[in-house]
Amino acid sequence: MYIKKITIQNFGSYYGERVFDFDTGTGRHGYAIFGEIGRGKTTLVESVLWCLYGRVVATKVLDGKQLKKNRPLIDASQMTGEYTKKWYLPLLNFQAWYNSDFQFSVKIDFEHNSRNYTLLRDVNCKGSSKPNTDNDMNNTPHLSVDGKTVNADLISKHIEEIIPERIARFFFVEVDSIMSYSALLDADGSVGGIVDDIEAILGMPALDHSKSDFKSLKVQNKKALEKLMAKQSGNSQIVEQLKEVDAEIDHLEKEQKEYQNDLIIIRERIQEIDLKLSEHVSVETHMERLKEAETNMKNLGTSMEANYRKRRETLSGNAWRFLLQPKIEAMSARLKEKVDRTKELERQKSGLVVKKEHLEKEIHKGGAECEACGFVTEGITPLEKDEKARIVLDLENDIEKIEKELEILGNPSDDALELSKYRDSSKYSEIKTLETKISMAEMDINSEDKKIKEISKALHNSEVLAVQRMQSEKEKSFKNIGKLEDAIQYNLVYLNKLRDDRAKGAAMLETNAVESPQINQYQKSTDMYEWLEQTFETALTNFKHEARESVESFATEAWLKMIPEPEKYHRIRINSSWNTEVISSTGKSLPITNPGHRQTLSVCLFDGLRKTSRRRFPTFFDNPGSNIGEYTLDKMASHFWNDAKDQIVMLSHGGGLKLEDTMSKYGSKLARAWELFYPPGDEVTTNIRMVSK
Amino acid sequence: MKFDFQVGTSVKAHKILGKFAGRIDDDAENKSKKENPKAPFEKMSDAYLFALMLGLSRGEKSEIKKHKNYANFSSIEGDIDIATLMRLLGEPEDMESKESARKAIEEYATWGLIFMDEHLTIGLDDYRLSSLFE
Repeated sequence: MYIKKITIQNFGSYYGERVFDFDTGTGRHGYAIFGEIGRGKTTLVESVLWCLYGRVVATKVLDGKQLKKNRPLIDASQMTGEYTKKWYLPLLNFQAWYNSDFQFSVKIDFEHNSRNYTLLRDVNCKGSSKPNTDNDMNNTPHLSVDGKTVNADLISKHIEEIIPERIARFFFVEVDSIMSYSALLDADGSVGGIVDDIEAILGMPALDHSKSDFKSLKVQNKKALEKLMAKQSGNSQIVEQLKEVDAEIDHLEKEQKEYQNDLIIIRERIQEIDLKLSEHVSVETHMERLKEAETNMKNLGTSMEANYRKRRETLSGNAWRFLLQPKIEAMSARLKEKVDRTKELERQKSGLVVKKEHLEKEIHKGGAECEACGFVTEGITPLEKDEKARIVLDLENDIEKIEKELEILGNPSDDALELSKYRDSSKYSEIKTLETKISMAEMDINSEDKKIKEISKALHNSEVLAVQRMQSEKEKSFKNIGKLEDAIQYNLVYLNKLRDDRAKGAAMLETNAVESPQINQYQKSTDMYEWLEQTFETALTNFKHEARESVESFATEAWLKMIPEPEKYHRIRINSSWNTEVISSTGKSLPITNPGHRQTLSVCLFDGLRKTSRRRFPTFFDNPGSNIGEYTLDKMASHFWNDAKDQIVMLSHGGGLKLEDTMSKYGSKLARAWELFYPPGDEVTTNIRMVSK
Repeated sequence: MKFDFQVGTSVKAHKILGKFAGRIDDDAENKSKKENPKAPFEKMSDAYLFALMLGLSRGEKSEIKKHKNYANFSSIEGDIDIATLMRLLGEPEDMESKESARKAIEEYATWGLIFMDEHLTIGLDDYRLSSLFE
């Protein structure tokens, strides 16, 4: 296949019609396309792939998983706003959309096996109204071979015959492909479909199919032979048993296949769900925020409830005592005064009583007559007596007053004692602390509530339920995968047992078999098919071995040409799983951790595969040098462009091959070179300028 | 001295009493289930005692026009000697007779309940009582 011309119209960043004419008649096959990031280099590669296969796959890594999705032809929802763009952009040029020009196309003129092909893929609007989705568009491929139109239904088959899609990745090499090939260097078995693709480009599946065909013939023949041996030996019981075992094995194998198919379907569905969920990233984020806010609300509610409970317990205890403390204090002071007064009054009363008693004695001290002799002693005068009696009377009045006051004062000591029981020095400050906490939690709850309302509003028009359904389906799917894997494992154990039983039964039949020409004939056929199966197995193994050696040899040659200090390296080694390692000049396996070295190694392996496959297709290297040093890039350009026998198109930004340096060094080796750029004042539309003479 | 008589409040204060114990209706005293988890008191008797002490501490009473019986006072006062507290901290006439004591208790409690409801309520069903502890 030799590309003569690529014509792009309104595709991606290409607005209007842009033509890359590869047909220079110079006999040179190296091409360079320069352009900074975003100027349309990858879009050019994608336009070729889209024209050939009708789809462009966008990829995105989410949570460590790579998501893939076909880019839509058109998507009105992405074109109407600045912030509505998704990771899978539509193919129609945005400027064309704004100008209501909904038609876009890519045309490739190429030569293959000395025949001229024109492949055109054209998209246009079905109706007269503004289209919204791919359903509103016609997507039609047109192919002509030597001027003769090919039936539309046969076009994809035709293209697959020329360059199968699964091996196109080895010729239209983007960074994604390079990275996925780089994964082979890690040798951890997580390289996905690339090993199958490698074997496909080298033509191994054909040998594998032949081997399977002979195996199937051998099995059929063996069964017929067993039947015949049983018939001749009269040992029909064993055949019946074998039949039963066969039926069971068939049943189990069928079941295994069904389980495997179910697994594939479930895994595909999970991928589909992941893809759909990725489109709802904002919904998922909102839902996570909502969940977080709801959890916060719940925690705040629980904490607030606990604080209310503590407050209730405190208030329902002795907190009322705090309220009485000022009055108790005041009353205690008053009671103390009363106690003091009582004491004072009692002291006064006691003094008055003594005085009164003394006076009373003196009053009674008057002349007293001796009972024996009748002598009357001398006493106080009646006047004095009256005077003292008056004083006594005053004293009695005073005492009575004091007693009355004491009666009024009561028993203040007892009251003070009683009141002291209700004294409480606690400030009950925890009530304030708890209410502060409650108020703060209320504010936080209000804030979370506001947040929830905002998120709910944002989710109002989103497909929340759909996302929830998908997440739940995904969880169920994972559970089902677990169940299916268990069932497969269980079946496998049982199948192995049945196969052992069957082998024993068949061996018994063989032992008892009677020689006959017919049996000999079947025996010979069976042996022959077995031999063919083994031969193809050996051929496949040898072929793989030789292919690996060839790829190793070509890749090593390229590696030693491109890498600085090549004397440090001996060769590239590839094992049977296509895991790759670099061997040093001292024979040690070197870890390749430098990203630039990994990319270089990947490019070398691609080169080895292309050369080993002997398929002659144009090769597009899109940004091979994103992590590669100048020295290696220069050597790479030299390796690919010097004496290129097939078309080699290298697309590079300023961080890789530099336009002026490259043109001055390799200009004479190149068939043609272009620069992709934005015109002044425009930051989205690709323009092309030819930079080669 | 222990009081053994029925006490109550005004009809309005009785409703407040129920609210303070988290009740929507005001019948049961020891309902374990709280209707309002924000209620400041465990039981109506706790709220009654607190309100009585609040009225007593401030020397404030509310005259009761429409009376509503609540409970026997012995179930409210527990070990507390209310008679002594009222005699020492209340007004002289509070303890003039058993009837005056009952009346004083009801009026102190009624005042306390209405005061808290009018000044310490937030929203429809929440209360902030910490200002009473400053």
